[in-house]
Amino acid sequence: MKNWEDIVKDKLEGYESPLPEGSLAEFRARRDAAGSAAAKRSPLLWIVPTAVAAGLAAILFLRQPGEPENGAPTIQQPTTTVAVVTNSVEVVETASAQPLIAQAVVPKAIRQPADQQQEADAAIEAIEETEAATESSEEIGTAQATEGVDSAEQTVQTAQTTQTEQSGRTTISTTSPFIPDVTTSRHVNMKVGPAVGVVAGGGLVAAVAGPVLTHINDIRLSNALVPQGVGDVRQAAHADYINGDVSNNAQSALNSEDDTNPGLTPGTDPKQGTEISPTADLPEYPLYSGAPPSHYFPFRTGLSLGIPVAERLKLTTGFDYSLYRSSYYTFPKAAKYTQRVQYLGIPLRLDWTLASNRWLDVYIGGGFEPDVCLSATYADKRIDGDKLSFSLLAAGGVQFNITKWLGLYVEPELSWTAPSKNRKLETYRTVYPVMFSVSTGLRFNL
Amino acid sequence: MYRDLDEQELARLCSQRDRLAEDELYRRYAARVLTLCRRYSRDGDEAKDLMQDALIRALDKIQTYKYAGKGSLYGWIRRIAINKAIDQIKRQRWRTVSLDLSSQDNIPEPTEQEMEEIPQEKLLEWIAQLPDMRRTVFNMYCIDGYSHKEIATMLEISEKGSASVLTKAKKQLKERIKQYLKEMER
Repeated sequence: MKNWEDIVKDKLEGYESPLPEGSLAEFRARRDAAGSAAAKRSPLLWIVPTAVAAGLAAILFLRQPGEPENGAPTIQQPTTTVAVVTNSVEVVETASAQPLIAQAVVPKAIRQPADQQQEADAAIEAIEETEAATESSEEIGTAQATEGVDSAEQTVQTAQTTQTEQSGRTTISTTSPFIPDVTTSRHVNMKVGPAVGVVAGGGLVAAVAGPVLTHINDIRLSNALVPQGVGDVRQAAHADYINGDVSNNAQSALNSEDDTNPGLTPGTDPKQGTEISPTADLPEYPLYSGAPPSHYFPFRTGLSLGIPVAERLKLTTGFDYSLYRSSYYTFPKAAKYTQRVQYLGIPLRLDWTLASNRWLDVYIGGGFEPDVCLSATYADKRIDGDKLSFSLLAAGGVQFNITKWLGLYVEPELSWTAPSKNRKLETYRTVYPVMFSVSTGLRFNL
Repeated sequence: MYRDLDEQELARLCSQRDRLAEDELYRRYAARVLTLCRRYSRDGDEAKDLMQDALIRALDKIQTYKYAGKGSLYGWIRRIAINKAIDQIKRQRWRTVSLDLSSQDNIPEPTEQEMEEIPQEKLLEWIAQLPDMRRTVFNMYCIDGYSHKEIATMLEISEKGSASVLTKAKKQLKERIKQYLKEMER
């Protein structure tokens, strides 16, 4: 006697289901399409998504710093030019030969009244116009434009002198017309910052990628010259200095962090004939008052784990270590101070698989990442770090399944660092709250 | 002409990309392959797509077919279709934990006579209504003749898991059969 399962088998094994109408025609069409696709198919096609992602990463990685914000031009500050300067008058006179460079050596810092700014702006335009004229005059052999340069620079000098008279302080701190006024209030910067990260299942990938990823992305900041988190007293002192209150207290506070920095020597007035030497007699600017800080590409590495939740849904989590380095330069004394901040984050992301086969998964997802500051140092001294903070994540990616448990992935990710009082250190990601990164690595799949 | 071809000759012509031979292969086997795909799929459209994919795959790989007697060509195509169906199920598999706590099976087995009354279409419908894993294990074990060891390997589950899933699938099917028979008595 047969059991019921055997009867089911007998009944279904030889059963011919009625074919839908037009199924043969559909089969022919699909067969032809599959044939043509097979002819074009190449293993190299699997590499294309990776190559595109890698190319994107390379473009971001090699991207040169663009025009600084607000469209202001960046002017290099060659040391040779500094050496020529002996006083402020000579700065202006030297400018007739190299007006742009001569103006650029003025380090800037002080907010100036709007009318003086306008006057200086007008002078800049005059210089630019006469420069163009000078170039043309060199070609035709006339010297008319030189007079224009002199008059324009006199205007600049007048603006600077006025500033000096009003503030009663050193004229070397007058505003350079080539550097934007950076003392204005900090604006919300929603520009997307590029970054490259490695989230690897093994240490090898991280070790290889690490040195590469520390390539500098020299970002010129247009805001805060003083990073937070280095001490309120020091910041207050710096603010006092910026605002013209160079009292003894402020001075001592400015000098307290670093013995190598002799601090400001106020009262040096080139108008009164005091000679200024770039190495000795120039007032030593307090820390941060020189060039804007440079924030390096963050370095990221970690472990990633994919946990299937449903047919097409996967929870991606793990550990995400990131290192943010920033450098601050003093001017004219060539000293560099580095801030290093390390974070440990736990990304929690839900990924939706758009397409999948044995070898390849294409997915998009979103989530958030709480992170804690592991340590923060400035000039190799520990400083207070950030507290717990959060980022929102959105990512898409392609994962090549090497084995059932292990996949190699390339994953562009957009993250937004939520503004928080807990985040007080200035790093790459506070400058670029919205950050685009391309991560690659090995992922363990459960 | 093509209708009279034996399996070996049909496979040879198909391997030469003879379009008419390929059409003949479709006419001969599509209906049976569709039945197989309906057993493994949740709905008719999915089954139809799977059937066509399986046959196209078979034509792509027809050079690898080796004649092993009458019926071997269908057996070879059937294996391709089953593998395709399993691949699809593995891709779409939802990892859910079954909350079916009652493991005791008190439902009496349907008799041979009762089973004969049930049309094939009904059986296919009930099998299609089983959850993915139960449907697959039932088909593989009860109809296609795979062992629990083979099922465990192919579906990447344990042998015990396969046996457990099969028990649940059988129980669910028996319930449907009994329910149908009761309705028929009225």
